[in-house]
Amino acid sequence: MGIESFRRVPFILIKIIIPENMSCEKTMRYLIQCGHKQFLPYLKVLCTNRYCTEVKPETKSNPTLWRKPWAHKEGEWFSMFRLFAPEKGGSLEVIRILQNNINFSPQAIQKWIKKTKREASILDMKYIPERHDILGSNLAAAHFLVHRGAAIRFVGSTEWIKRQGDEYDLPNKYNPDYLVEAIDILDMKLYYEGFQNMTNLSSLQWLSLQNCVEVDDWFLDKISCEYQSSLEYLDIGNCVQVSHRGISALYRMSKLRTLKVHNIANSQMFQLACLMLEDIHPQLNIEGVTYLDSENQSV
Amino acid sequence: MFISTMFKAVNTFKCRKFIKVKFVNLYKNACFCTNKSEVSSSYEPPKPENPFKRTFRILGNDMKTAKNKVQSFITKVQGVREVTNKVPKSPYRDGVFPEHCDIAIIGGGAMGSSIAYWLKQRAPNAITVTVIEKDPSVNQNIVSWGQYVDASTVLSVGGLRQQFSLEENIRMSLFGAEFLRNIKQHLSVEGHDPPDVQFTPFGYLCLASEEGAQQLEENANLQKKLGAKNELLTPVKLKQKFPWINTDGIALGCHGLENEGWFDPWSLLYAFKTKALSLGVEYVDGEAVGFEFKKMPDMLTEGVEPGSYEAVEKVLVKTESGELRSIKFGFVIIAAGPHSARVAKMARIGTGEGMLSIPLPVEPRKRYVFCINCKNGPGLNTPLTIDPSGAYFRREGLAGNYICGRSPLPEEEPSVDNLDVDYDFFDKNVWPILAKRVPAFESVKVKSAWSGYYEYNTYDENGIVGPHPYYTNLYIATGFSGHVIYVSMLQEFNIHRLLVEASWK
Repeated sequence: MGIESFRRVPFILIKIIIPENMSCEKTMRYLIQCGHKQFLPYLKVLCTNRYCTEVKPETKSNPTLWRKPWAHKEGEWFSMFRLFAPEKGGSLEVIRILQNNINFSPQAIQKWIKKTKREASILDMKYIPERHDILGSNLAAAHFLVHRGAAIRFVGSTEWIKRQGDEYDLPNKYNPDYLVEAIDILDMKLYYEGFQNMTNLSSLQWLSLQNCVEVDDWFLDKISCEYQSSLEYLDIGNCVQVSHRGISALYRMSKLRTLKVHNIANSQMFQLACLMLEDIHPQLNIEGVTYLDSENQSV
Repeated sequence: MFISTMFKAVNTFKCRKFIKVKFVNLYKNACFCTNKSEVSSSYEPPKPENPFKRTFRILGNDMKTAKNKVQSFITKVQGVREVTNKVPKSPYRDGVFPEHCDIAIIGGGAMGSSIAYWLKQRAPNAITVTVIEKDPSVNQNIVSWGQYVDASTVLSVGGLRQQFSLEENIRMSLFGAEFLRNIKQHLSVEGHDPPDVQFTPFGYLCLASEEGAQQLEENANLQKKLGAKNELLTPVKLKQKFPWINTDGIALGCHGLENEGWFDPWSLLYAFKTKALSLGVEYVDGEAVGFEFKKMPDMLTEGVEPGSYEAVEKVLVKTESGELRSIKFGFVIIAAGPHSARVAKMARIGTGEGMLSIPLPVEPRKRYVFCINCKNGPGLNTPLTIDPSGAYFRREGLAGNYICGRSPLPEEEPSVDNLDVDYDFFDKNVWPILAKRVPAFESVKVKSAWSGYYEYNTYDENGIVGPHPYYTNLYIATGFSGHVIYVSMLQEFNIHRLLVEASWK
């Protein structure tokens, strides 16, 4: 083997950024881990995964270890093999997957399909900060909704922007003149997680969530927080998961004029909540509730 | 040859005797001693059952259940509907008292049950979990009040809020809100109705006087930074939004806008418990009265004199029938709420030397909650209002009922011997403040009241979660004094650390 054979070996460029202030052992370990990540992306399942809600790496605080493991103490010796030892042990996810008996019965498969579809749609609705950075809140919300089947109307215009096949007509760059005034959900299945894409809509006056079965009390909580100072019309007809507790949460919305609650379970508590809501906001008019006679109502 | 057979015979005899002696000593070699005097009366550890007797007993039970199954199958086939249950159904999962488990959790309230749930969630078939709860718990499918009479979980007001000053607390409550929102996905069990915690979304309104205004503003900014939504209100705006309020002495108010409210803690606890049971957790009705220790002279730990280490190996449980049994565990988690300090003392935390000399700083404190009725009280727009003096009240239902209470001042702490309610406390300490803050509360009627124990952390009033420095297999999760409801959902971080660092090393 001479210099010629060395030159013939293909040269693989590895791009690794080593942060400063790392001890020698940590640097070595970091290099090995980077190597893992670069060359074995399809074995991601074997890396230690945090099984929990999304925590951004910057905000995740490292718990201070007040006791050093034995090998890190002064005077303790360890061999080079320690560099390849995993710091935290095997991943629990792997063990769990290996130990689970996969249920192949038709009901279980149906359940699994339903669950996966639901998770996929929720993931689809995740908040993407880049969209808001590039387009601004109003246009970002507009793109998000129209792409998935809802209809939008902007301030100053009377036509509804809907999706025709796969195309719709919305500007691609930030334009401060476009302010969302009205949203009609139509056929789209809106999940709570998708609501974060609709923040900061300061001119939203008209909102219709009719026929959206996922709407429940948490939704109303979020709506009353986000649009408390601008919303004038809210339609939650056929949203059967809403209860009287959600209705009473709408007390924060000071500008609400019309509230439509058709076909939601008309229990006495619900009617009472509607009455009390109308009490606080005199300009509010609730449609879709049939009140009993005043003698039958319990105060 | 004769000699060699004789020799063999003698040998085998010796061997048998040797094996017998060793065998008998095998289950006696644990050097145990229970904690005497201080907390509970001294308990003698139960004698271990003869293994032969145990084997035959279990085999006998198996025969009986098999026979029962065959009989019931035959009667089903024949179309005869008989409801005979010859063998009394044992309350335990396998028909026998669980004498071994991987992880024992002392305390089956919201904390304990949620720890059990998260543990089993992560590793359903890898570990066995046993929860020891002293309050008679529901073993049937029927929901009945009156169970868990003494437990703090069900007596709490069940609030969820993000208005804390500590970052960890804010994060925990945000996680808790998300968990509650998705509770149907997390805690549904097949064959049962999906759990419904009846979450009422309502904000918390924290009022502050001049001195506290600065702190309140800082807290509000911290919460906003971490994702909680709230708004700061001046007295003028407060009056606008909530016309029933009297803003004397108020400099600032912080109104939580999202993910705050209250819910039914009993249904949450029940949901956790049924899900844990369905995942394979064993619930034992009994009270932990002591620990058994094992000397480990070759264990070297920092801060401990070499040769003197003693680990906790078994927990002594006094069952409902008065029997004393012991459960051998790999790890134990103390989640006993207000009684955690007492349990920790059984493990010598507080009475030992060195690291064990520091007791667990958790005390039970009694708190009263009063339910009052006011005909002309504030209407729908009543968040849970917290006065600067510590008194709070919130709307309950839609018929003019309110729930109120107040943390007593340090010198007025009521005694914790029993759960009796002191109605004078309401007249002297709670009502004057409420009447001042809300003029409509001048005329109220106390409808009912109850009291419960807080697990008060005397060190800094926050929770204690994590392993104990001396013991490698003892974890503590307690001290959350009132926030336990949604902190219980966060036990997965505790569990992650437990499983990943400790058991998988």
